[in-house]
Order: sequence, then C-alpha cells, then structure tokens
Amino acid sequence: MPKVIRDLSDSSSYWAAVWTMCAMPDVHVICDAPIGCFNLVATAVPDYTDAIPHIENITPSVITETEVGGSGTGPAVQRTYENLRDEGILDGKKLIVVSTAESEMIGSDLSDLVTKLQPGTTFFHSESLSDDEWLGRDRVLQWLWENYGQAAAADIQVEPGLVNIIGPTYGCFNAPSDLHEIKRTIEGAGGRLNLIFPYEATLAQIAQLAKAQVNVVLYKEFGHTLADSLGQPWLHAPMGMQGTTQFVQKLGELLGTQDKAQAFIAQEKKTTLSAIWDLWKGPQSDWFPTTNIGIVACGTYVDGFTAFLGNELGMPISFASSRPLRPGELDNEGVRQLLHSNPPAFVFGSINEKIYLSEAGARYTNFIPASFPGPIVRRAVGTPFMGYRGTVYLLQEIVNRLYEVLFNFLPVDSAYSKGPRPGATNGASKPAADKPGNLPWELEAKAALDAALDQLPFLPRISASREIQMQAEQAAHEAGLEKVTAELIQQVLATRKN
Amino acid sequence: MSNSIPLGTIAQEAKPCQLHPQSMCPAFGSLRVLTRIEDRIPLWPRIRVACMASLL
Amino acid sequence: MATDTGCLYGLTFVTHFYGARKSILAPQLGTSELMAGQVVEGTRAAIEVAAKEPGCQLIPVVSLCVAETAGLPEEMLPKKIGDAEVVLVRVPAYAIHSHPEAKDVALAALLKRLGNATAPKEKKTLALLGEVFPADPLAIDNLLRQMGVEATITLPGRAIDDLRRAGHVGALAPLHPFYKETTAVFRSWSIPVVGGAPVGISGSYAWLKAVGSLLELDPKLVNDVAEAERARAEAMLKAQPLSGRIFVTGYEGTELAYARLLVEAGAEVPYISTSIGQDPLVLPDEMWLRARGTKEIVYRKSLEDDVAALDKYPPDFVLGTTPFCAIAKERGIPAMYFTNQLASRPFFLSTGMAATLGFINQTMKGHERYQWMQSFFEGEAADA
Repeated sequence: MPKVIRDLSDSSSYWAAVWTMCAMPDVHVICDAPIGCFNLVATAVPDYTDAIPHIENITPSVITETEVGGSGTGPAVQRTYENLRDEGILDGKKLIVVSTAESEMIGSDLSDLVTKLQPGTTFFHSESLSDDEWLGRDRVLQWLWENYGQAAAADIQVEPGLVNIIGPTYGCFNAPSDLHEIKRTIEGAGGRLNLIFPYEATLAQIAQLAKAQVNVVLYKEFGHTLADSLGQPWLHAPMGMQGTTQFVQKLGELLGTQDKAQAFIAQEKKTTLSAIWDLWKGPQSDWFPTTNIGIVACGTYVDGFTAFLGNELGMPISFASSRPLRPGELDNEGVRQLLHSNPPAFVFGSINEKIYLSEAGARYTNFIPASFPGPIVRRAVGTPFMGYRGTVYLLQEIVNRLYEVLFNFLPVDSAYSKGPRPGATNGASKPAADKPGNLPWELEAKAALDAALDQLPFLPRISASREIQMQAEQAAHEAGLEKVTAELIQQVLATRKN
Repeated sequence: MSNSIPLGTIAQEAKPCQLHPQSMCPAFGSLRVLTRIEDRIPLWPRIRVACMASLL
Repeated sequence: MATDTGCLYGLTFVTHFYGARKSILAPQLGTSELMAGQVVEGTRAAIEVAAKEPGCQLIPVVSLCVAETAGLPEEMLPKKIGDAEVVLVRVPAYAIHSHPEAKDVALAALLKRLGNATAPKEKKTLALLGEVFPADPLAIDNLLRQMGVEATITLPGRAIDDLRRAGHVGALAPLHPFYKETTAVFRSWSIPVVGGAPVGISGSYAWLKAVGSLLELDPKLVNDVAEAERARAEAMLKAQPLSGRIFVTGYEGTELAYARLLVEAGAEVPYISTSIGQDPLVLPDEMWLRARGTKEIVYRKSLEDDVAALDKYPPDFVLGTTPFCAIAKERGIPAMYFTNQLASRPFFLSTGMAATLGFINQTMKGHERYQWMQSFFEGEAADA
C-alpha cells in the first residue's frame, strides 16, 4: 500500500533553498513557481514564524496554465529577470534561479537559460520532489560554498582563534536565541567569531569561511557537508550541562585556549548555572522523577533534551520522535495514538502534537513549543535551548509550568462539579429538531450576545462568538424552544462565567 | 450613477512592473472552506467528523 | 522520498493558523511515486485512512498543482466509502489565480455532489453565500425574519446538512462577488439570485427590498423593516463619521464592498486593489465607487501597483496585505492586515457597520504611534 502522510512535519528542499539563500541580502532569488509556492514560503509562513512581514529578495516566475500546458517556464523566468533588471532591483546583487516541485514536475531545467541572464546568474535545482528541508539545507549550503566561495578561498589563510558558525536559516525554531548563546559560549571558550553563515553573512563573504580555525555546526541535521568541505576541525553546538562543558573544553583544546575555557566553565557554574544547582537542592527537583516527557523536534533537540532532562535531571522520557524521522521512531500516526491514549506531563512539539492533545482533551498535559510547523515567535534572545543558558531556560520553563498545573488543578472538587467541558467530543448531545439553517435569535438575545462579546479581548471573540452561539442553540433545542430567547442567552452566559 | 463609466481601470500612466503578485496561495481558499465544516454541529449532532485527504 | 511537501507544509500551516485544528492526510507523492504513476493509488490509500476516523461523513480530496499536472481522473476515485462522501476539489494554483476564487470552486464542488437539484422549494427561505464573521448571519437572519423570511442558511458553513439543504431554498443571496460557479449551481437548480449585499446604508436598504420582492414577502412589512434599518444605520453613522484618506488593498475579493462602506461613512478612498479578476458581479460596486471619487481600482494586483499608489495618493490609513502594510508602516502610516482585522469583525447591516467603523476610527486615532515608531527606528534621530 502506498505511503500516507499524516500531518506533515518537514517542508521541502525548495523551502530550504529560499530560507537559506534569502537570508543573505546581496542575493535575489527568482523562484520558478506558481503564485502559491511563492506566497507561502515568502510571506504567509515567515510572517508567523520568523516574524518578518515578507522576504523581500525573492520574485516568482508565476507559473500559469500556459507554462504547464507546454511552453515551459523559460520565457516566464526571462521576463521576470528583465523586469527586475529594468527596475534596478538586481543592482549589486547576484541572481539565483531556484526550481520548485511544480517546475520540476513539468521538467523545467533552466541551467542553459541562466547563462543568458545577468552574468554570474546560477540555477539551483532544488530537488523539491524528493528532498526534505533538512537535506535541502545541507545541500544548498554546500552548493553556495562551491559556487560562490571555494575558488576565491584558495588564497585565504586560516587565522588562529577564528570560529565560524554554520547554521541557522529562516524557518529554524528558536534560532536567534540558540545562536546568541552559542556565540557567547564560543567567546567564553576563547574563540573569536568569524562568519555566521548564512544568517548574518552576505554572498560576497562566503570565501571568508576559509579563514576560520574551527567550525561550529549549529544543528545535526544540516551543515556537516560544508564543514567537511572546509577541511578544518568542527564541532556540533552543544546542549545540556555535560554536553556544553565538553564542547567548551574541546574548543579550548582546538584553539589552544584551554585556560580560558576552564575559567569560563568555573565562572558559569557560579553564575548562569547556579540556578540549576539551587533548583536541584530545592523541592523542585523532587518532582523530576515523576514528571514524564514526550519530545517531537529536530534530532538536535531530541538528543539535547534527552541528555539534559532525561539523563542529567532524571525525568522519564516517554517517547521521542525526531525531525527528520529516524529509523524506529514513532511517526505522526503513532505519536497521535500515544497522545490520545497516554499523554505524558510535558510534550515538546509542533502544532501537530498540540492538535493531537486537543483532540484527546488532554488538559493535564503541558505543551511546550519546540518545533515548526506552527505559528510562534522566538525572536527574543533570552529563550535558548542550547548551551548553559539553554539548560536554565528549559528548567525554569518546566518548573513554572508545574506551578501552573498546581494552581489550575489542585482544587479538583470544584473542577469536577462543572460537568463536561465545552467542546469535549463525547458525542452525547441530544438529537435535535430536523430543521434547516440558522436558528432564529430574538433581538434582545442578539444584543446580549454582542454585549458579552464586547467584554472580551479582541482575539478570543471569534471563537467565543461561535462557542456561545453553539451553546445557546444547543440549549434552545434541549429546552424545545423554536428560537434563542434573551432569557436563554443570559442563562448560557451565566454558566460560562462559573 | 452614470452608465457611461467604462468597465476597466482608468488608463494609468506608466504602470509599474508586476513583480510581486499579491494573493494568498489560491488553494488556501478551498482549504478554508473545507476545513471549517465542523464535527460538532448543534442542529445536527449526528455529524461528527469531516476528514480531509489533501492531495499534492 | 517526499511528496510536494513544500505545498502541503505551507497550506497546512496557514490552515491551522486560522483555526482548522484538523489532522490532514496526504498521499506521499515524491519522484518515485510520480514516476511509477501512483497518484491515484496513493490518493485512494489516503482516502481509506481518512474513512477510518470515527463518524467520518465527508472526505474532500483537494487536488493541487503537482497532482493536477500528473493527472488525477475523477472516475478512478471512489464516490463514497462507508458513510463518507468523497468529493474531489481541483484547485491548482497555476489555474485558479486567487484565494477567494478557490473558495467558490470548493463550495461549488460540494454543492454539485451533495445538493438536491430536484428538491421542492421552500419559498420563504434564503441561502446567504459568503464566508463571514459568525455574528453576521445572526444579524441578517434576525432582520429577514422580521420581514417574513422563514429560515436562512449560510454557505460555506460548518454543517454538512446545510449543503444538502441548499437545493430547497427560495433564493440565493451572494454576500461576496466572487462566487461565480456556486451561483451557477443555484441557477441550474432554478433558484433566483438576489443582487447586491446588505452593506452600508443604501446597500442594505436596497438589498432588503430586493429580498422582499424576490421572495414575494409582504411589501409593507419589508418596507417597515428596511426603513427602520436605514434609520439605525444613519443614526450610527452620525454618531461616528469617518474622515481621511483610506486605501483598501487586501486579497480577499471583498475589498470593493468594504471601500463602499468607508466612502458612505465619509472617508476618501482613492485607491482599491484586490486579487480577484474583473467581473460583472463586481461592476455595480465599481461604478458606485468611481462615481464617488475612487480613482483607481486594480484587479489581480501586485505589490508594485499598491506601492505606486502610496506615492500617488498618500493615505492616512491602509488596509492591505502584510507586505504592503509593512511598507506603509515604514513610512509611519497606520496600516493593518485586511484579512486578519476586517474579516474577523461584523460587517453587514447597521451592526456590522458600527463594528467596522468603530474599529477604523479607533485605529486612525492612533496615527501618532505609527509615526513615533517610524522615527524611532528609521528617523533622523534613530542613531542618536
């Protein structure tokens, strides 16, 4: 039987290409795409994740029926290029044409066309029909080095003490915080930062990657191919107390700054990490052995959370599922079943896991965002998962949520007396009159609803409006009423306040 | 209201290049309609779950 | 191996952002599946998994760019599996062009399958057509019942049975101008269509009268209700008139109707743009607006069109797309994302008018904040 995907977790290599290349301001990308593939990657999603209004340095060829129907996308890309050139948008920029699933589907190979556009224009075949975002990022980082760095790098000498960070692109969960902490950690170990590629780099600087004595690869999922190509020793960015300590020591050895590295570790134990030592000595750590955790996130985070929360603090790890999926791990179908039947106290994950928990009505499980997809802003630099500060932030988050659980669920007597939760799918509702359409509302009832909605902050109003409406109509049916009356809506509103 | 107003945009001098089309992915319109069909409907409680197979 | 996962990733993301909260299935359609011609097979497998959900009654199959290019013959898919109807909706982005028009395509596909063409008509009932704020149909239903309408349904809605019952209604009232295919389905069922929409003072008045005459309601009753509603709307407008120059530049296909409301309330709207194409259904609003000072209306617009208008008619307030709003804010101009801010408030009749105008007045009062932000980050004193 063919494979069926439930709630996709990983985007495609086309997205990887856009999110990697467009992070550099001296690049302009023409994506060989229908309007949707342009809008989603460049506006709709990064609006709500990276919190940028839109990615400015990308233009679509706008594939339509004409291109799909046989003319191919060459003329559309050519036209787009000419418009960009005439508008002056390409001044001082390098142009890269990127394929998409649809352009690959119609077999559009523009390797020849790009040689006729602005000198130096290249074509990146994104392999979007076969590769995911992780593989895609690894491949595009290497491709950028080969096409825009390697040749010029032949004359560049390694400068002792310099360290590159090969890492974040757009669409990497929590990247600003993790990057900030890793920079601090590298400097603490005695290194000096060279290129932060591609997040804080330009295309013109790529050859400078060759200057660094050591490379730090932020994620296990991508960047290692480039690190191997650069030929200098490299390390993965660390998570957990032990992992971070080993990283600092190793980096000190590689750079010859062992003393500085040791001093940094000693100082961190007295400052940053003292919170963990105090929480360990306090009553908080007593909860750890009975606080179980599920993890759905990139493999880097899965390994880091397992090492820190599981091995170092002793919290039971109920399950872990990496993005991309590693052999033997639960896929989304399995994660969904597990969260429906036996959800742990904490779940790190994406919006998919959040949906599964809500399907199950798992009110007692704390969901902590740790992965895309899902709308979430992580632009503050104070919420790292990596490094020493990452351990403190994670533990603080867990302890505070435990306090929250105590607040919400300790007075169980009153909680139980309220009856079924609104929205719980118990299927117990009564069959109702077999009538079409909207139930009529008395004028006063409608006015009461409007007044009640006015009392709410803006965002919850939409769902509250629908919820109250459904509750009132349900109540009207149960009372055998032909319409929603003012009296009835007051009753419904009163129940909601309790 | 005059009927002599022509259908079509008033002639615009130097129309800019149309480089950044402004639409959500068109397909989203259909998803928005389809995913809003709800499982719990007070008037007809026998309707439970609308599922979706999204084919790409 | 992956399917066109980029498309699936992006579409499910935005679907969940707007509160769908539904698990979504897809066949894996990567290079090897496509090479092996397994589009139909994969889709059938996904349908089978969906059908296993308890109580599943409807399985919409959304066919997008890559699958449409590969080819997916409808006759190769089941029409029904267990109790669930399987409905194929073809919306390749390369052929549909805009987000509102795909709403029409999806709804028309559902109605063609589920609607009952030969149903006896319930003469004094009305189908409201348009994805609107949940309180709007309540307000409209309320007035219509005072005029003698017996029932209304709202499409697209949340009830599958409303789709089944759509063939019974006495008339169809499209609230938005882009439901071409859906309207054609109703016409094929011999159901008459009400023109206009209950927007603003004159629009609502005319619409209520039109519904009354089409459904052959008591003219006196209709007139009383319409007059009373007009009086409410006029009083509302007097209480909070609008002034200033506003751009309406969203991509929802409802921009002209919003502009009409703003103009009626006293605003100057020199420039309007939208993602939908020009169409006779939009023509009445277009003519109304042009007769009242609107200088440019751009269909299938691009960001460049909007930016050019920003230079040409510097506005006091922009209701636009996110990229365009960002550009307006960079100039210190108050701006809000049309989709999130207006589509999530009541809009129709006097109550909708009050909500929408109240919101806009309030926002425009905050213009100094937009200027302060702009000068803080990009003004001459920014480096100080």
